[in-house]
Amino acid sequence: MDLNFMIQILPRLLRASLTTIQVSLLSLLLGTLFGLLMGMIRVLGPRFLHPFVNAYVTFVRGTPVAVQIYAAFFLLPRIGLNWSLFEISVFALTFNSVGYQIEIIRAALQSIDKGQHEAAAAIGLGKWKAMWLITLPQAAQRMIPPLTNELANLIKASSVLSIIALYELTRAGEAIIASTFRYAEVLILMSILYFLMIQSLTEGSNYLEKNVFNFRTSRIKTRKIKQPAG
Amino acid sequence: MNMNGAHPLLKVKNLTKKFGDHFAIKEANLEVMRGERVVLIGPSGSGKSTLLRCINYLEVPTSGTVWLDGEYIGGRYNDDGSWVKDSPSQLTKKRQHIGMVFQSFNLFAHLSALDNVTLGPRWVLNMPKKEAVEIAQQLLEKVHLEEHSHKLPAQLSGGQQQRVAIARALAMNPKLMLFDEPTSALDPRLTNEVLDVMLELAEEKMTMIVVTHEIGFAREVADVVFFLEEATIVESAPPALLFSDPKDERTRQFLVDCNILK
Ligand SMILES: Nc1ncnc2c1ncn2[C@@H]1O[C@H](COP(=O)(O)OP(=O)(O)OP(=O)(O)O)[C@@H](O)[C@H]1O
Ligand SMILES: [Mg+2]
Repeated sequence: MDLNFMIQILPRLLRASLTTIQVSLLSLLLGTLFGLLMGMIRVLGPRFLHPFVNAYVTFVRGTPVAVQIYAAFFLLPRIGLNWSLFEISVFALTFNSVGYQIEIIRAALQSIDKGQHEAAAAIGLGKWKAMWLITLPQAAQRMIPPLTNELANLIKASSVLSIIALYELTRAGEAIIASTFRYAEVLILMSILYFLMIQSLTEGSNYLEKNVFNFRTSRIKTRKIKQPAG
Repeated sequence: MNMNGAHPLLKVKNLTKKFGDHFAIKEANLEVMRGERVVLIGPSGSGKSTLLRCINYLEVPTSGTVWLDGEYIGGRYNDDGSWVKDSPSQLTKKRQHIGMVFQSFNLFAHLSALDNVTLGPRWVLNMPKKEAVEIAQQLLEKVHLEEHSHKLPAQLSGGQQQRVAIARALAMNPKLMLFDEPTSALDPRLTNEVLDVMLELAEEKMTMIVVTHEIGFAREVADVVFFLEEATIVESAPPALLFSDPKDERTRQFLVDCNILK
């Protein structure tokens, strides 16, 4: 193993890692936006829309991400969209992620205690207001762990984008191997970089879950309950 | 119309709720005057909760009507006598006039005590924040929790949570308050702090229907006590009468089982 070689290729791999993170995070966030919309439709929306949402979920889950990426790559230009490789990549991964996020979001929304909905109804809140003010904020906390998992999946799935030549980490590694044939060093560095990306994003979301969304313990430090005298 | 010429605030007519083939409440009739305090008692499964939950349509009755202060809950009669069901938004609007307190408190878990109380006024009544907070603070004071207004439900005792829940319901300025076993999840000391608040409400002539096993509360507060068994209202009478000399044998048996009658 050649440390000097590794140090020499590190900047290239780091720059490609940045693309990996950008594609994955952007797809996660866009996926959450559409996932929330479709998840809420699935929970509260008119019944005739449910089969469409279900069909979408079944389709995404039933086809390989490589096929979805190829489809985006070849079909988007056919319908007149002249998108960059990066945009096509974000589209493909978002399309994929929405299929998984709908189920994550639906499960979290439906896990909120029935009593919360009844209390909301009893003070005269309509179902969409109750969704926005009561259900969604509480479900948000429960969505974070599975969404973190989804982000890790997206980072790994983004390596498949190398098939349409997006210059992300896997593509960059492949290119270096093709020109130098020194696969051991490249693969070790790639593994470490993927691991670090996934690990740091996971830690970040753990922090979010514990400190920002945790309404059971956060905000007020003292958990002691002052009992009235008597 | 009763003797002093008062009109009923609430009229429940022939109310029936079936779950499958099973009657949870059968042909219930009930009239409550403005300012009247009603207590429902009866064995477990007799349909007390169902009757209460049908009044604000948390449970949609299988048949029968609920009329509150000039309008039917859940629908209305057309000029030609046909019944038109309320849309979800119409029903939502009517519900705000009926406050409900649950056995399991059901405070909004992510909101402070204060925010629990202001939520209804702000988002249902569209009150400005400042005004809603003022009202909420007064109500939290009324239930003796002014010092806990910033706390989350998980940081409050059961008794405190239930008092916040009462304040939350009162914030909507309801015409009628429903209590479904509000103290059943509490130990005796916490029970008393909740009953004290309910007692104050009763003294202010808040119209209320209370499902409870607290016979002491019923004796002290109720204008009339209803006894339910097997989905039917068996009889009703003022507490002094019902608890000492019930007309129906089933009521007598229940009171004996509860050690209220010898
Ligand atoms: N959602 C439901 N689905 C099916 N059956 C129900 C449902 N809710 C109530 N029941 C049945 O209806 C009957 C009356 O129930 P209800 O909860 O009104 O009784 P209750 O008098 O409030 O009893 P408790 O004192 O235990 O609270 C019971 O036999 C119960 O099993
Ligand atoms: Mg009950």
